[in-house]
Amino acid sequence: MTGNMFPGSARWFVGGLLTVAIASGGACGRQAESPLPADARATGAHELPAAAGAIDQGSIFDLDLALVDQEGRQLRLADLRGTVMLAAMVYTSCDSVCIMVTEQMKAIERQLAGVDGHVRYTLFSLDPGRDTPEAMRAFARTQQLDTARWRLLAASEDDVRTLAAVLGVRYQLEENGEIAHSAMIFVIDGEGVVRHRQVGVGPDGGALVAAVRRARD
Amino acid sequence: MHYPVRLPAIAAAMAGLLFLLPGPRPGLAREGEPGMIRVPAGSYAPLYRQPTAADDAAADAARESARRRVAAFDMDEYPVTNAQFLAFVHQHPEWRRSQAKRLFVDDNYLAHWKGDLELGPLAPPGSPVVNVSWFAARAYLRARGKDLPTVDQWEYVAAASETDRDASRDATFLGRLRAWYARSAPVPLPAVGSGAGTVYGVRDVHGLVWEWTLDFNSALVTGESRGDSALDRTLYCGSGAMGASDFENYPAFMRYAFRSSLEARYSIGSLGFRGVKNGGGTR
Repeated sequence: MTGNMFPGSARWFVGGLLTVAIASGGACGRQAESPLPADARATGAHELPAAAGAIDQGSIFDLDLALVDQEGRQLRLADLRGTVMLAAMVYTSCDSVCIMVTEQMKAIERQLAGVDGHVRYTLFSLDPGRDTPEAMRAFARTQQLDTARWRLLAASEDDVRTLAAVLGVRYQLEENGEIAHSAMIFVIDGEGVVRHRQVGVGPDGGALVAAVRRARD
Repeated sequence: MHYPVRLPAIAAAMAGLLFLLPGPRPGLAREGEPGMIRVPAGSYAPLYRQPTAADDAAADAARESARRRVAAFDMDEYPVTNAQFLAFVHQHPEWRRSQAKRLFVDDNYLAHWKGDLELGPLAPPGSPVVNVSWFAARAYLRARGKDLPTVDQWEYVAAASETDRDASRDATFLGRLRAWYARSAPVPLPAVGSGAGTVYGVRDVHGLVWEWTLDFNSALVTGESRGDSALDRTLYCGSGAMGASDFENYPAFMRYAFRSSLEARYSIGSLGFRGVKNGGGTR
């Protein structure tokens, strides 16, 4: 039963990590020895298992989370039901990876423009302390986000933790006020099932675009 | 009897837990909630913040400055047992094995129980409940006005031996942990109280099961974002970054690696939990 120590998809990563640590006895691992599965290294993307797996993962709308958008409107997570969304967790005072995530989402928005309506672009805040509606509006302005399609949503610290846990986003508050976090972009269908998860910011959003199109079917 | 296993041998080889120490020992004088121990404020040296340094003196100074302060809090004396969790699912049908939403648990949820409301031979009432997800653990604790300990709270307690509040550099203590980690867990798991004690009186922190922490997902080892890379380096290149002497704290390294492999809906046969309350936060 202790075989269950390193669970699920990450087991190879950790197994490999520990193996490297033991074998090298102090030497630093190199990227070439990266224990990530080859496909994950190559694409940075995780196509979630089709139908069966997707159903098995459940709907994020089973979370009862209270949200506030950039206009100060209060809503529940389940109010987002019914529309395919491209989503990420960011924070507005972040000046690097969050911008890259947002830029890639904007690039996908351009690729889908005129072809696919009714896709929403959603940024969930990782920073309940600072991401007020005003801060989120300012971010939307600076980033030139069309708020007819984009929404920025903040939640309580505990609700942020829960949403991050559901999506698999890892994050940590740093002492300098930054929030170290996973850069991930999700395609979530109208029923709240995560259909695609991109890890990192890739130059090619083709897989995300394809996932959005599939999620609309 | 078949026990559900879904992990390959590579992990099995790594995965030990467990060990038994001779019977319970009395803790120190304790106060706090019934069944809980008041853990006094203090500090500990997080593994991932241990810096490299040119020499021993510099390393000691850097280590001291990297210590994280932890406010006093109440912690359950023992991990939550099968019997306690059974009482919970009696009251909360939505957390029974057949009812729990798939967003919150995976297929292994309570897999060692005989049924929704029946423990069976693999789940003795007094043994720690395992095969529970982060969501299920939190639901149980919140129904009792508690929550999971943070990584800081848990590691702070885990640094204590039976005699010292900070045994994180005690070679004998660490050696015992390493030996424990290399051993297989008995099936069924022994009763709570059979693992190691701490100077605080909190029991079974080591020696019975791994335990969920509130912010298990703060371990960033996947290296995706700007902030991750530094943390990634200290974990992935853990032994090199920590230096030869810090490599002794391999048990802490294993715990961080384990946490980094978790997702919140995982339900694992060696992973249980306990609650805390009245904490003043960390940092």
